[in-house]
Amino acid sequence: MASPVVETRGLGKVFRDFWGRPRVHALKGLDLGVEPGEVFGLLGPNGSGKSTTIKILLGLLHPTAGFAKVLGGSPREVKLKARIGYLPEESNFYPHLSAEETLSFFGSIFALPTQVIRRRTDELIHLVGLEGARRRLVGEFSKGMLRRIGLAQALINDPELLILDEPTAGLDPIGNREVKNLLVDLKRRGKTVLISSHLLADIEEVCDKVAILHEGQLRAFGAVDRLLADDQRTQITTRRLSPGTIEAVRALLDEREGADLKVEVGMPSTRLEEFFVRTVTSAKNEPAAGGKAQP
Amino acid sequence: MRAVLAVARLLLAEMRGRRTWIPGVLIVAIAFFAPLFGERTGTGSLRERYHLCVTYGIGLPAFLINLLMITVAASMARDIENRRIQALVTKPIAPWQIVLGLFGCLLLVSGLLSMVIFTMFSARVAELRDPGGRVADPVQLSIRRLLVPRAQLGPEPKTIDPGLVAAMVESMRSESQGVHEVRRAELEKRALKVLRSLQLRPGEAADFVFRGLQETSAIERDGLLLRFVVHSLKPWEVGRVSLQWEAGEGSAEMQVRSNLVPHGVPAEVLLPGSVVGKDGTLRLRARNVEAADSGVTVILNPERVHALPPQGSFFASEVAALWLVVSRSALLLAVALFASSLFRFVTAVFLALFVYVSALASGFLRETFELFQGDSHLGGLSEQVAGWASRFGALALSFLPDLSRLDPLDRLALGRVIGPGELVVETAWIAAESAVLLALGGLTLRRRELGKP
Ligand SMILES: Nc1ncnc2c1ncn2[C@@H]1O[C@H](COP(=O)(O)OP(=O)(O)OP(=O)(O)O)[C@@H](O)[C@H]1O
Ligand SMILES: [Mg+2]
Repeated sequence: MASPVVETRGLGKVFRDFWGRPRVHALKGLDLGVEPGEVFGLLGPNGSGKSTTIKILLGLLHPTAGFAKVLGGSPREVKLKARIGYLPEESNFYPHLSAEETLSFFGSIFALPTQVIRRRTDELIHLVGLEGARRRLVGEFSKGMLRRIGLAQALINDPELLILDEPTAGLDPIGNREVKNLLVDLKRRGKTVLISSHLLADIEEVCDKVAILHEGQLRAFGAVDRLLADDQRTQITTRRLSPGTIEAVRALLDEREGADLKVEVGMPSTRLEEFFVRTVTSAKNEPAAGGKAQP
Repeated sequence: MRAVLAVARLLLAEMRGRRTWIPGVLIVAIAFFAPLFGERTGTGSLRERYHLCVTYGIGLPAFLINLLMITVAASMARDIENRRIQALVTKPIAPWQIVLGLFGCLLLVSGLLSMVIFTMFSARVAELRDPGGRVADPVQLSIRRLLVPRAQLGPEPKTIDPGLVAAMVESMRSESQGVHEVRRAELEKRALKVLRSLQLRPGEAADFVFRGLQETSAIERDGLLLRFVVHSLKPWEVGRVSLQWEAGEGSAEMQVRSNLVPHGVPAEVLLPGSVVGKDGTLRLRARNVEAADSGVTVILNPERVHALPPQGSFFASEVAALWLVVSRSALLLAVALFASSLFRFVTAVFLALFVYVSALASGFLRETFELFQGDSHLGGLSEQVAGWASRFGALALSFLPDLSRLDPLDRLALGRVIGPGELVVETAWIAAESAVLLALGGLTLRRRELGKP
């Protein structure tokens, strides 16, 4: 098997204040691995350490324990950055450049030939749907438009590894769908993608593997279908049933399986969403349970 | 290289977008109009008007350019604060390339602005016709003259017998015994200072020789400026000392007020051009012409007696001054970039300004600190504190750039040459200091966690 594109071992991060006193233990002994060609979802509630992990992988933060490797090298290696695309959590770009200028600026940082920059700029502006705003200043952009230009700049070098921190935050449903299509397309082209998101339905659809963080610890880690394949439970999904029918089914189940059988009745949620909520809730109930990954 | 250029272009676009050209235009307008207003209020002698042009046409605008450039350079700190830099540093660009790109762009802009201002200044001087008769030389000649070695400033330092120093230190020690403790190094420094100086009792005279004053034609026309500092042995008793300079057949007599502190202010006397010999040698005699019974001893440090040759050519000096002004901007930019790699915007701007101002005043500060260190025998807590603070200040100052070493605008205003040797030494200093600061800035940026504001 090829060596992992992203690898962390015992990764820890303690944020300290001005006087060096520890403030926040944002990451505690995190072990992750992303294989080539995978679309990897990093999940977790707010403040669980997703962005911290991503920033460490990009050399924007330095780990206080363990190590991280990206594309086989240290995250702080400048050369490696040529093969990485990154969409930061916050869309802060140069407000006095137009969309076009932003892309060609980042293109020239990669020292791409001028024609390539021009071609990619056109393609990416089309891809993220900013044709109408290509000459407008980024400073005037709406939140979603900023997200779009951010996505475009992350793709300017046609990266091997794409790291997206909440790419869909602030996007309209169409933008959402477009991002999903983009991810599918990138996956088809053999790119590796690391994505953090709260939109679990989307993650479930496109990700091969997910990791769920809670308070800086890994709570679940593995292939999506394997995590969700839970042979202890059975779910039956149909169109909406009348209360009478539900009662009849309950009675039948009681009769066949015994009265102590727990039956939940409700609207269907996506499977990952349910899994996520279950994982996080149990993590909250049993804090500091070692934080080790489920296989 | 392309990445560096891209960063430079980005900054240009940013400056355009932030309307940084407005202060630029304002600075140019100040350079143009301020000397005119000054002229109306001044008495209007040619020399005064020339001085006004230098002060308000170049001095003030150059100061403002530096302020502006420091602020723009420190915007790197703002980019770090609002996390805008994250998208950039996660691209294949090394921090030193970012720093270099910003530096290059700002240096270019401040160079262009300075050039505009100096060009306006030349036009103004040409309009004045004859600021001391120094304008008419063609450029060709001025470049040749820039390469001609100039007179040395001051005679060679006296050689001092180490035995004499030791004896003097011993005697000072025994004198101060029981009064207060003075460090030996301090005493040595004082002894050297006294021994290096000439002590002229009433009627006594000392001889000075200056060689290599080659621009005899210019000296003949404009005369020769002599600059020196006098002290009196008992400044608290006499406010003035009378010193007469004698040269050749003619003599230039003048009276100089001695200030009451042991560190005098420079006094100037204009010698007629005819005093310089054909071989470029000038022999001068300084005589204490106080009344024989006054007992006033004049102290004259030969290292601080300078024969200042007049400017050979206005344009050569202007180019040299422009060069120095721009290289000083470079140094300040490096300071600002370094500060903003380490601190937040406001702090970075403040620190850069602090360095700028103390660098400008470092000559004055140095002397003040020396004074306090030397005279700590006054006792008392505040004196003690001042002594310690001065020691610390002197130490801190040795790390700061010294812009008072050579003041290009002062030279220009006085019509004095900036020698090629001085120019090279100063440029080399500035280049070294800036390079160190830029490298430190790059290094800091590399080590810093740019993922947090
Ligand atoms: N610069 C910082 N200084 C101090 N603490 C920080 C800093 N950055 C992050 N933290 C803390 O680290 C923890 C993890 O933050 P992080 O941004 O990684 O969360 P996240 O999973 O990305 O959350 P979200 O879903 O809200 O984006 C939080 O408790 C946060 O307060
Ligand atoms: Mg986050």
